[in-house]
Amino acid sequence: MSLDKQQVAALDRLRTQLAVAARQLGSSRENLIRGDPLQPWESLQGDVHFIVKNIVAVQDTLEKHREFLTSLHAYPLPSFPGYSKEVLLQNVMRKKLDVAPEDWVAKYSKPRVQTDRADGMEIDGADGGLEDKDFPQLWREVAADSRTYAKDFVYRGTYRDAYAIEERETGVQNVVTGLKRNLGGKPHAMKPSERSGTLHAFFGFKTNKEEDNGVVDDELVVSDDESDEEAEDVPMGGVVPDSQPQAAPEPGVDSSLPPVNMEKMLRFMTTGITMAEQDDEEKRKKAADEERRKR
Amino acid sequence: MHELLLLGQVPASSRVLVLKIFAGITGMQPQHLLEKHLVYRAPAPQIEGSVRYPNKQNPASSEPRQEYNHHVVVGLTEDESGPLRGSDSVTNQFRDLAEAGNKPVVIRVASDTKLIISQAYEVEDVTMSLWDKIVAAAPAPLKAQLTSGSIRKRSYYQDGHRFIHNNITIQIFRILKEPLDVPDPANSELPRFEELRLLDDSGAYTVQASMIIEDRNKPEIFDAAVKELLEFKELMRGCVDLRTVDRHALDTRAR
Repeated sequence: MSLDKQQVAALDRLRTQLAVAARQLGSSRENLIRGDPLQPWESLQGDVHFIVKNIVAVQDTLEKHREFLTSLHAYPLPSFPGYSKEVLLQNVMRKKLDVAPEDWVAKYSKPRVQTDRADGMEIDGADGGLEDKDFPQLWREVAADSRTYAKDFVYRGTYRDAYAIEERETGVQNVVTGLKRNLGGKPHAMKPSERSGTLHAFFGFKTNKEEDNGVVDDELVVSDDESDEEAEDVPMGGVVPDSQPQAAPEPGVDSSLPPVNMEKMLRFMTTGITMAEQDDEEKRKKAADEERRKR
Repeated sequence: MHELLLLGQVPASSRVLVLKIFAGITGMQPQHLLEKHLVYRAPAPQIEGSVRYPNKQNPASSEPRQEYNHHVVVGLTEDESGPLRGSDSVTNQFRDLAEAGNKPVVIRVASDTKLIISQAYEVEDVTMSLWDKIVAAAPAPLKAQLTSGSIRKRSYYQDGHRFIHNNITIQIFRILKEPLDVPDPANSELPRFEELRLLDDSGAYTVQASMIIEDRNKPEIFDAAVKELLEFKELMRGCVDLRTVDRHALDTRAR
């Protein structure tokens, strides 16, 4: 069996990608073991990112050439130095996985006991990190911490504001929007009815638990009631020009008439022969034709 | 040079809409265009690639050469209160009869000669008519053609807007006629804009999408041009129905 160029290229590509992935894994592992103190988490995250990227690249190549790679068969040529490179040869010729990888496959291809949770996270209890029962606590804390920012964002109308907070602070009049439309003042706070939006659901403002905790600000509720009467939309004056030309008909234009035949008009354009003359000519032609027919 | 074009019509009521759509597609504001077209008759100029230059082999032939309608196009500027004024942009246009056959676009030989007229305008000679000024400014071969041009009684005005979209020139315009009592439009004073009369009383606009190609014989250029025009036609489907027209409607031969 001889391989064509493309197949050799695929193999070579896979080899390079595997080499890169292995090197990256090795160095990351080295860093984890030797690093004292441990790397900052940003750098750890960067490492993980690269590892995942490498593995994805390998997977892509595997998937792309799946047919070819699964049908691939290794056999040594007689010229291969079988004695001096015995280890390599055995590695290449081995059909089964190594003992350790086999264990991994057995371990991770078992259906995992998943804990489906309300927050959509899958937690594998076996990784020795946080216990299951810790997570609700963690999420509660996250919610409490982020609420102050999110509340400001949603209730004060910043979320729907045409300007960024920074722009508001430095003065709106200096912002170059490229629009002639008046973006107007700050949009008012949302009505309670709008609070069923995705953002609210996301931050869980309306959950019963929080209502019980008395989190919702009384002040904010009052301001909502005030704004109930206000118009919803910023006036859009100046964006879509009024179609006044239609309203005021031009003098001499009777738009109820059908447009003139384009061919006739083009004939006028190219030769300057007026419509009336064209009609006359047509009539004359017709008359001539009829006369000919009569004869 | 060859001109490829597609034409369509837009009722007056949807003019604003169409202008906006064009502005959006082309990413430019409409350029106002007001032109006076003076139509005169003269033999076809000697252009390379022109299908019907009959006496090429035998220039001494006694047979009278076929005359064609040529246009002198004068760019005009509108004055607030006074009559229209001629601008520096004066072009002599020749268009041959469109190519025969079932073509996806109208294809015809085109030849434009730009006249440098600014010097002529500087001569504030009241007695000189517009036509005389144009003739005075024309280069020698064209001057002979202009002076020998037999009939130059016909004229019209073209009022509209122009856009450029990649290689396509889009014009949306309508045709205006001279005021009623103008015996010799080439030599008379320019009228006021309000005095001009619409040719089409419905006020409909004509849309012309055209492209000029230098070499009709290079298939790659020609095909690319046709493709671009047809893509534009497809793009405008539902807004302006661009189509080819009967080639005899664009017949420039004088009879």
